[in-house]
Amino acid sequence: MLRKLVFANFKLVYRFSQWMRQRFTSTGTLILLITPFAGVFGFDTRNTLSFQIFSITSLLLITAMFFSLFFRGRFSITRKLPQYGSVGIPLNYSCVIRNENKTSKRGLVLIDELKNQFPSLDHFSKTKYPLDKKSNRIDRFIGYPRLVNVMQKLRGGSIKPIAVDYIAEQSELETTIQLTPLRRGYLYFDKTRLAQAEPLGLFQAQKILNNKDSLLILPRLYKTPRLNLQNKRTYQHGGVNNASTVGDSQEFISLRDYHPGDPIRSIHWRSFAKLNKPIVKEYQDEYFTRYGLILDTFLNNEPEFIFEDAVSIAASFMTAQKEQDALLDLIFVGNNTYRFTSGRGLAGDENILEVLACVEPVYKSNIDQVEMMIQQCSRECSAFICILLDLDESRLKLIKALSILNIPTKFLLLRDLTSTDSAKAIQENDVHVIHHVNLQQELDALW
Amino acid sequence: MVNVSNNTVSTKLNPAPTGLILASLLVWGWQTQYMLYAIIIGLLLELPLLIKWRIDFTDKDVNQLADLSGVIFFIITVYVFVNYSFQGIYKILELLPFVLLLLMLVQNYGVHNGIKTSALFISIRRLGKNASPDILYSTNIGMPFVFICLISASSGNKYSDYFFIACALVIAWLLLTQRTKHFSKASWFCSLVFACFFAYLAQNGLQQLQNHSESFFLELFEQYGWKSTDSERTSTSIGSLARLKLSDRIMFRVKVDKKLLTPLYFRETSYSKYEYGTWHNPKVDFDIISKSPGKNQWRLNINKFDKETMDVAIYLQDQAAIIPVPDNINTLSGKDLIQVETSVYGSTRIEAREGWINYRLGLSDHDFVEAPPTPEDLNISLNYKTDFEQVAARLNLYSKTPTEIINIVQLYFKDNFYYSISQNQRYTKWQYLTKFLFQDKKGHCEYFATATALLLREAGIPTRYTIGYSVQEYSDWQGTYIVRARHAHAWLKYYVDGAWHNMDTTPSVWAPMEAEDRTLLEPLMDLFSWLRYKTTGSDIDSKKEQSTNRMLWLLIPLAAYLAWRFYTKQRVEQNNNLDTIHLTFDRFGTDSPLYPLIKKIEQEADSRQSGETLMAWIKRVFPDSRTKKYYDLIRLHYAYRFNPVGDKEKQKKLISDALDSKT
Repeated sequence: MLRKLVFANFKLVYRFSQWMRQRFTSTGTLILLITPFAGVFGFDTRNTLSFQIFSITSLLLITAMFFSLFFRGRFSITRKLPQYGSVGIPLNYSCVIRNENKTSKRGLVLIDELKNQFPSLDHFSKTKYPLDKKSNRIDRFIGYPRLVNVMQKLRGGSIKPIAVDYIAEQSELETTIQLTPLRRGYLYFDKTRLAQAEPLGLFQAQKILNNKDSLLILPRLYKTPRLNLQNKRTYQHGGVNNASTVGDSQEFISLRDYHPGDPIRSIHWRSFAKLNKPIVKEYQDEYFTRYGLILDTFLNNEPEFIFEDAVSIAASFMTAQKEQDALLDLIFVGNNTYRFTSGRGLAGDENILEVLACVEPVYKSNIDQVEMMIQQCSRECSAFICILLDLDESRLKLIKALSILNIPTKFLLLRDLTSTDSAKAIQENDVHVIHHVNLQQELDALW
Repeated sequence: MVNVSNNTVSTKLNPAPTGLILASLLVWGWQTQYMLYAIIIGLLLELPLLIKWRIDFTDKDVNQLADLSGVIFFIITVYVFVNYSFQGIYKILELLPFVLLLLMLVQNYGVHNGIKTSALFISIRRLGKNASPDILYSTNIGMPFVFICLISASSGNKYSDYFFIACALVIAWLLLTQRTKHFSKASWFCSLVFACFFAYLAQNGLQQLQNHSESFFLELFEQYGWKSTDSERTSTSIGSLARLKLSDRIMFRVKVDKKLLTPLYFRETSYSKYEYGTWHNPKVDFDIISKSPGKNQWRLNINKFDKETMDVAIYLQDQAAIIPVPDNINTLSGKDLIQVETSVYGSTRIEAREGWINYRLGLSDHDFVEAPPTPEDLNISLNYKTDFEQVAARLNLYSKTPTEIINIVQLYFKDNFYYSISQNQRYTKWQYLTKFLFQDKKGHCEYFATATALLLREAGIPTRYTIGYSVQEYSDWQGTYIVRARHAHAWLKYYVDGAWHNMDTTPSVWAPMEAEDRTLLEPLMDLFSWLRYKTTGSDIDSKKEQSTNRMLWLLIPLAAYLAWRFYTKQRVEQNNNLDTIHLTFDRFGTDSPLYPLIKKIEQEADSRQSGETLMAWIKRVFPDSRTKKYYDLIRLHYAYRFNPVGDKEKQKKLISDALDSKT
């Protein structure tokens, strides 16, 4: 009940703090903080003269706010965004500001904003804040730093205000803005503000322009070794459709009668005309390597960065150099069970990265669904790479199910487990533990 | 189109402009009398501008110095609270620049020109390097230090207007260096003057607001929370700023046979020791006065007969209270009184019921005999000793007889001082009486009574500070003297020739001056007070009648409530009609096969009486051997009808089978 009450007020507090940051200059913020301090000590006007400081500072702020009302102007802003960005790598984009006024403008500040998305109580409660353990008890109990962290993640990045010293009348000006994406997925741009401080330099008047846009941020990629599993080539149903340029395609064997379901393009028209019944061309069965990459998306008590590491490793494998005729299936469970295939002219790297950019963790166990999917594709896949977030009972069941298939499988575990049972399971199943700190080195050492 | 570079706006605080820290410290030194320290600290903090070398403090060093500052602050807080109690908060405020000195030195002499937030907040320090850059950054604390110096200076609490100007100048200097360059200096100056002008009005308004709100709440307190006088302690308004305002509330009524020629003083109690605006007594014991046999009368004086009488009506908040009485009180009588006590300091305490009570005062030629003086009645606090020695020497009191001393002192206050209920100048608490004597020479009755009492003590005459009321306002239409809160007065008693005598050096204009502040609503309030007195302030015997009258008043809200209920009840009924709910209950076992048989027997023989059990009925209808057979059948029926357990279908079949076999 108390938690709900506190959470309900977070939105108000967060908005107020955002408003304060956007509206007050650094000196204005200092004066704003000093005002209540002076007010408290000046409450009894007979004991101190602090009420005089309170009067001065509060009237300065009121005056500043009053004069900010006189800021007028018509502007338009166009944002030029790149196609993609990558987590943690700063990207530059530009904004074209057009001053539509008949006078030039000086001392403007361009504030570009990403959309603020307020988390639900459920999302907030389940999200782990890495610094929670180091925070003080009050912060931990109230959870405001955690909320700020969640909000930052949801917003996806921070953009620093840009000073625009001068813009001539009826002219355009292009500024470069740097954005450092904090998460993968789509970042939504919301509003752009043009601010100008009033004469005292305490408060900023703002012109708010709705300027919605979005930018896809791809997962962080690591250098991965070439896939080298003890695999074999397997029969791939679907033949030529999956083999447009390479492999065993186009190997004609014979003609045969048409069976319902045969593609129309396989019909041998000459024979059809000659025999007056549909005859189709038969090609050689296709055999090539197909890898299955299983991504564990079930996040229970694990910290969120483990999931992010898993997605990054999956993305790295999916885009890594592989054998020319190999296919790579990405298997994971979100709201449904998904299987995306890349290679051999199917989905390109950018399509797979786009899919992985939008993968979200699932908080309800979904391992059984993954198991079913693996059963379905076990006849087609030559080898599996399984990226696990934990090694609980359901995951051990999955490992067992994969072992029974007798298909070469590489298990990667992104969490260090200390219990003796877990250590035993890791040893028995040849699970490679990859740590967040040494991720690249441990990936290099895989093969 | 012009391309501009990526010029991000810094959200960090800029360093304080050169000289501003020194200026703010000088304001602090001027207000708090730490001028020497202010100059030294100011020069120390501004010196780095002239020297080039800097010290490379590590994060650990800064953290340790910040912790040391915290420890110093803690020690100062404990020390100040132990010595000054809660008033010490202003002392702590005064010392803040000392507390922050170490951090300022580290910043100004360090290479980083700022202090990390992790040094200031242990919670951020614990987060380590993983903390978000939003909270883990280095900030220059120069400008916050300037403001802290000003707030610390405000605790000096003097030269109000000059302090305002000094603060405005320091803040203007700060803003000048931070101003936005795209506006002209004239715009900046106009904005600043605009803000300062209204700030000056606002700070005056804040003072007025406090005075008015205090008066308002004091009036409310007097109106609803008035308590009897404390015989051991009374706080004076010496040292209270602004206008002393007492309410028009009627405290008591005095009915006399013939009108008074001069104001009559009704004393409440006397006090012997003065310290920091408070008069107090040692522990006071009250002596219970014996009731005169066969009468509701208590004799307080030695005289046998009363020379004249007065009827007093007073409102008691508690059952026991000190009442105001004249000095020459002889007897006290009244049905409302339960017990009467007196103290050595001349207080008369009664025990009676709460609310308006009446009593009769019998007066004689002789004053009530108070206890002779004690060494306390000659005591002068060391804070004031020198001041009164100086006045006594100037008036040459040491060589005079007591009568001469009384005359000189009376004349001294009459000729050199005037009455004022306003105090606008602020001083340290103990300085107000000194300033009254030597500088301001104006004040209200508490100043006059206190100063006179202490001056006479200095001249060797024992004195006591006395509080009470001056009876002087006669209400023609009420036919009584009315004594209001603003008639409260302070005077003194001096002991000469083996007796206590009254002396009042307050100029006689005090009562008319205080009456100037009466509100326009005073006549209306008097009327309400009189009505309330008349309806509730009669004899104990009529209490029953009063309560009946009061109950009649209660009928009005009761009638209103009933009317409202009547009105709303109709609406509820209408709603009920709209949403009629039909409740049906399924009663199990009503399909028992026995019921048709019962019906048949009822038709053929006799019907069941109301409340008659089946078994009793069968026994009545078939008083022969058939009764037992029917009993078995009825038991089966009861099991089917009322027993919640068992297979119902089977039970029903058993009844049917039994009936079949019977037929």
